[in-house]
This record gives sequence, C-alpha cells and structure tokens, in this order.
Amino acid sequence: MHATLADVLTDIVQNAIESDADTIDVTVREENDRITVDVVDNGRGMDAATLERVADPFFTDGEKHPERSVGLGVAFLLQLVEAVGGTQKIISTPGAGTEVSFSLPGSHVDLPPVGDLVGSMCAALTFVGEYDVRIRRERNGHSYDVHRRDLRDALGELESVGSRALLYEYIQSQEESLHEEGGHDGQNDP
Amino acid sequence: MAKMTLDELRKLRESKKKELDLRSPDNKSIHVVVGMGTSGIANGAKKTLQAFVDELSDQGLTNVSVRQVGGMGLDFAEPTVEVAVPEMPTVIYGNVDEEVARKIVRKHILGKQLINEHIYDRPAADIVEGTE
Repeated sequence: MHATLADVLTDIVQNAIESDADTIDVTVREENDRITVDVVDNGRGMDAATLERVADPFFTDGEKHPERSVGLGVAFLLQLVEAVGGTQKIISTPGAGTEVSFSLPGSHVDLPPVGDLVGSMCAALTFVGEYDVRIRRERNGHSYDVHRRDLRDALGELESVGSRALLYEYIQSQEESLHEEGGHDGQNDP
Repeated sequence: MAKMTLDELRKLRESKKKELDLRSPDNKSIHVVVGMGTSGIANGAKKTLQAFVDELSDQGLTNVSVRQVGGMGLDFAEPTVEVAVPEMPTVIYGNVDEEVARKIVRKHILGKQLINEHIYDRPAADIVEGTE
C-alpha cells in the first residue's frame, strides 16, 4: 500500500506512460470534501480478459518484466478505494487507451495524507520517454493547468537538476496560489 | 510565493543557465535514473529522487541528468537507481534511501568510487572488488 495519495497518482500515471501513450490527461480535483483523480491515456489499452484481472496482485501481463508474477499498482489503488468507501472506474479499449478514475472521501479517517502532490506532478512530467502530459488541478472552483510541452519549451529540457528545481518551484507557485484562492484546509496545504 | 507564469519561468531559466553553465560545465554526461515503479514508490523512491536532486544541487552539479523509469526488475532491492558516470562502470544500486542517495553523489559521482554494499547489477565482480 502506498503511504500517500500522491504516490498512488505517480503509480497510475507511470502505468499510463508505460502503456506507450502519446498523450496523458490527468485531473486532480478537490471539491466538497472529495478528492477525485482521472488519468486518461491513449496507450495500447487492455482487452476484457486482462481488464478483469487488474485487481489481482498476482497477475501481470509479463511485458515489462517477463519473470515477474505480480502487478501491484492497480491492486493498491483498489484496496485503498475499498478501505475508505470510495469509488473507482477503469475503462479500457485495446489500441485506444485506458481511463482510470477514482474518488475518495477527503475526511475519511483511513485516508492516507495527500503527500507531496507537487513532487508527483513533477514526476509525471519527467519520466523517460516521448509523451505529452496535461495536468489539470482543481480545488474548490479554482484551477490551474500544466502541460509538459509548454514546460519543455520554457526550460529546454526537464531532466537536469537545474531544470527540475525550477519545475518544482513553478508548480509549487501554482499550487500555493490555488490554495490561497480556494481556501486553506490545514494538512494538505503545500 | 507569487504565481509564476511560463514567461517568468523561461526568464528564470535563462538567468540561471548562465550561472549553471559556469558552475558545472562537464556534468551533462552523468546520468542518474531512479526506478519509480509500484514497488519503488512504495519503498520511498520519491524521497530518494528528491535527495539526489537536493544533494546534486548542493554540490553544484546542476547539469547532471536525473530521470525516472518504471521498475528495473529488482523489486526486492527497491528503491533502485542506475548511475552512469563517464569512465566508470554503469551501476544499479539497490536499497537506496535518502542517506545512500547522498552518499552516491559524494562518493560515486564526486569521488569516483563504487559503493559496493549497495551494488545489485551491472559491473563484474572483479571491477567491484577492485575499487575499494
């Protein structure tokens, strides 16, 4: 089980990147004491038989690591959703992509802390590979967007330590502004 | 902190770039790759990644490339990190917590010495033994 919701987000986005997606759309929304995440990719998708088994931690398609027999990412997510009474939806079409959505009650006692959401957004933007990520962050009616293509254009590259520091600073400024606009709630503030 | 625009980010990058190029002109060929699959994340790979960025930055090595990939297939040794430094064997280190990450920067990247007790893959045994 992941220690924070930000870790769950990183994991699901990483799955999308590894599905050979060109484009990934991520939305992280906090509204009316609910935290909702949508990750939509245009990667290779899954057939119905594979989709049926994504909750099984002892199942993996064997493509990433042929000798490995576990696939824990989605299993962790579904375990979390069940533990806090959330909802989830996974829709996938072979050759077209996958949509993973989940919604969690923000004040549930067993909900892990949000954690380093800015770090997770930076991580989503800096995995190895040629892909585009658009992240939309919403909170109590306010929002901001970050787009990997724009950030690469502004920074030249996103991999050096110098660029990473600037990237973090940039997203942190968006997040702080969002919290000022959308109200503070204590532990999840950046 | 005021909300930064992309233009401001671009200008900040330009102003920092001149300073960074002066401070670390030869480090673009050094690569650090952090495994960020499910088991890596669950074992603290994000903290490991941040520790690398912080320590490299503290040491003035701001041109070093730090990237993420999915799992490297060494789930029992997460967090795992590949380090490539010119004229040294490319190494996959395992069980790299924040402290080990800082040690890798100081000893491997700056000191050109392998950290044998954390090596899990890549160099032959004689190379590992010959470095201590």
